[in-house]
Amino acid sequence: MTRPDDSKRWPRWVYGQGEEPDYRFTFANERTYLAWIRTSLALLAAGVALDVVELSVKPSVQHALTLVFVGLSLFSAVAAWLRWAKSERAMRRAEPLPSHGFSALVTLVLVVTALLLAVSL
Amino acid sequence: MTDEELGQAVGDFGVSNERTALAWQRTGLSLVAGSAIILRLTWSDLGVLALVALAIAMVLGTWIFVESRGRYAHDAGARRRARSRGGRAPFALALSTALLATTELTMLLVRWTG
Repeated sequence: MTRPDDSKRWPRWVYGQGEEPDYRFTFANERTYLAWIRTSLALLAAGVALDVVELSVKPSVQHALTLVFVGLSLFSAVAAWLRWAKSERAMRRAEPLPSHGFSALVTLVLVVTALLLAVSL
Repeated sequence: MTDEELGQAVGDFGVSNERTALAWQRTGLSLVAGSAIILRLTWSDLGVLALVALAIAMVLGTWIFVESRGRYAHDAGARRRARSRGGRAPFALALSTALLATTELTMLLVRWTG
């Protein structure tokens, strides 16, 4: 069996800890990470759509909603990697998976923007 | 056949490596497609800046697509690993996506304030 050389793996604050977990859990963590990246891309697409379509709402509201979507997309991309790294580290250390508040934040922001859009139409 | 050879001959359970490779590939494709659309929409406002930012995102997206093959081109996760899986490819992907969002954000701010 070819074992990965842990000393060359990055970041060290993840791979310098604990032991290699079951590879299926690592893969599942990667797939969750990738799902978050696709969520980020979808939020960006929503922002672009709001920017290019004409809606019967005030331009200031439309601009604000566009900024929220694109900002949330940027935030999700960065948070996705941090979530992946912290989960990978927890699995290597055989600790419970850390709780991440950012999924609740994303949900809350989406609900608020949807309500705002519904009220503005 | 030794125990180790026997262990290598028996396949791992499930096809999670294949599912993961496919997830990487469709994310890479989405990134390249997203870069092309953002470039089309921001080119007139940002010019060369948009071209440079999105060219980087596209190159990283293409590399991620190719990398996903190397990452999973083995029978399963634990054996005959072509290279060790680390955090660089996920970081490059997050960076590309963030670059894409930042380009769009810059374009919006330039257009609304300019």
